[in-house]
Amino acid sequence: MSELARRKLKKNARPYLYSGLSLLLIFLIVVFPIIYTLYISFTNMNLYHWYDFTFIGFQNYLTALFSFDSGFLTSLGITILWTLVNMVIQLVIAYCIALLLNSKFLKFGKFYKTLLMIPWAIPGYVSILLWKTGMFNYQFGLITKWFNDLGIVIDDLLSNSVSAFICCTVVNLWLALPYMIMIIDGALQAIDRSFYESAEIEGCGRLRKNISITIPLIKPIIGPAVLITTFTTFKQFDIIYLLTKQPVNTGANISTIITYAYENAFITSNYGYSSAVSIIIFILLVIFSALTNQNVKRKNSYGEE
Amino acid sequence: MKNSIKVISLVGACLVSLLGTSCGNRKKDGPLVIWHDKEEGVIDVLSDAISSKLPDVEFEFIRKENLTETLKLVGNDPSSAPDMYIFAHDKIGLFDTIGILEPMENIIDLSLLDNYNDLTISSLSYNDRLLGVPLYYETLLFMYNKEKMKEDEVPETTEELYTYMQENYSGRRYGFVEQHSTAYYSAGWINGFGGVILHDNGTPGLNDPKTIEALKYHKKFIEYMPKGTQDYATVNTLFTEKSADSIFAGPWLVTSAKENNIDLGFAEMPLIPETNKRVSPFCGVQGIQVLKVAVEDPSRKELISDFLEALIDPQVGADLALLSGCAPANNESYELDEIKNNELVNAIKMSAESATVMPSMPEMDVMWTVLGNLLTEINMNDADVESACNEAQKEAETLIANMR
Repeated sequence: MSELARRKLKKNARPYLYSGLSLLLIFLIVVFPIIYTLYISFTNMNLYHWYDFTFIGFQNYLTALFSFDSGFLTSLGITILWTLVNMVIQLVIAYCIALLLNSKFLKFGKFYKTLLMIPWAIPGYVSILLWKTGMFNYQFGLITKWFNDLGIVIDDLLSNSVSAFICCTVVNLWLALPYMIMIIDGALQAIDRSFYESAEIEGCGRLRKNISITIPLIKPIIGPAVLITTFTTFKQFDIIYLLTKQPVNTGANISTIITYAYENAFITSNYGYSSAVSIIIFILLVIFSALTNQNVKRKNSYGEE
Repeated sequence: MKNSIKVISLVGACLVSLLGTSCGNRKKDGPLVIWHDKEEGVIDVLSDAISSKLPDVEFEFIRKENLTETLKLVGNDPSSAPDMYIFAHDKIGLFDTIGILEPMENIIDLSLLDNYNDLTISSLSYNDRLLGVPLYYETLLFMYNKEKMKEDEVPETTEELYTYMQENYSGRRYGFVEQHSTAYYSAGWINGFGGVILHDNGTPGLNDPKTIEALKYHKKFIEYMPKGTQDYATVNTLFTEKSADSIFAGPWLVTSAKENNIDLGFAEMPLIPETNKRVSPFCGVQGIQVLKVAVEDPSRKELISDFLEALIDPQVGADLALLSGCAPANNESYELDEIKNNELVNAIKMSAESATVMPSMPEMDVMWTVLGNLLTEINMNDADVESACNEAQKEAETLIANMR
């Protein structure tokens, strides 16, 4: 090998060498479980073949696809609705709050920002249970108490599918808004004030400034955050499961694909079958991700296609 | 370049150490290791008993939060698995199915357990083999607030209970509460009616005529219970806040009831007139089980045998039961004064006389979810009992088929 080639190799290899340990960790934590799940999905690993499982081809996938009855399609529909509703409300509220936080007339802005971050600091599990027992509980919850004080009799909010969906959305917003507010707030601060000054000279109103300056300029900055949050919302499990399924099924039927898969695959302790279900969901998410990514790329750089 | 070599060496060392741990010594050695999920007091009793009887034996109790899942993963690995574990009996079917448990007949003389409560022995048996030494057990109790429900009002039958509920229902006060849509709490009604949740052959019994009859009968009681989801916290709070006069609850409610100054009374489970049997809740037994990998070495097996025999002691059973608010599995413990005079222990024993062995088959994991959903459909969504049972039966059959 010539001296030049050796130098080039050394130069090219160095970044990989430096990031080697991190790459190894990422492989062990992220890639390896996916590969192992894929491997298990082609085996008959279940309670009856726990240590002596064998390769069975696509049998688990066939079982999973045939077991997924109309319930799965309903869950898929609910999941899409859940993601859409949550993302739209989340973005609108977060944008409005972030705008207010950046208002030049606002006093104690930092204090409000700290207050708004509190839901983020509380572990999600605790927040969900606090909402469930403190707010939505039919016997002792604050919401029933408020309605009772107003002389209005309401049903158990978590026992009806529509009201339970709204309750879950409220809790999801409570948990997710701080992150989105923080990102939009950061993006707003990054906008050059001279754009607004020029717009004011041109006689633009507040709405026009928002539509033509603020939104296009923050779009590329908040894009990745929106993408991440969309995925988190799409595969949300804790909120729906803890509010409506555990420890007692409340009677609401708002299964998303993750809760549906849990109740139809994971409780069977059939790891081969459950892995096949996980891989199917993983593929759905990859397709969803590819489509969204394409869209984000196309509309990147200041909203230009 | 020096730094690069260091990084490579570090990664290499990590990999070697990882491989080293996974391919290490395959034979168990060192102190006996016992996994558990119990409170410190219970473990202190066990430790003291072993230390005093077997001073030369080294042992270590390790608390595991997610014991079942961890044991499923490492149960056959001598380097990671414990020698024994203490847990509720309902998972022995699962562990026996994956083949990690050693039957007791290979470790101890079974006649040592002749004085044990039959229900506890049946609970810890699977496929006709005893798979653990029972320590203590619990079941649901009929508890009432003596201030609200007078002695002569305590219902002897479920019909009397129903009448009491009707007479004492006001929307803010309830004659009786229970977690009516939770499988564990409602199983007593199904068992009392002669219905079946899971047959001995692992097939579901949700559409059995007696199960359907039980759920139809049970539904009429819901009308006089509080509206909304009846979860653990809600139901227990209603009782401890004196909004409910009586309850089906486990012994774990006793402490908080006493803290809330409830004058607590215990009664037998009410009799169901249709079947002339009492409401028959499941009984949960805590026991100590031994892993196969632990007894491969004969000398270690002998140590484990001594360890278990040291725990077959009426005093140990009594201390454990009193600390955990349960009843001892060893009948000889009931001769001791502290047990003889303990109202709670005797109430559990009395209730256990009409209790049913909780199935430990792995299929039960599926049944808890399916039955819970079925109860919700019937009790909260007012579904037709018969068609809901038929649908749940089909769902359970599919899920059980998917287990294999």
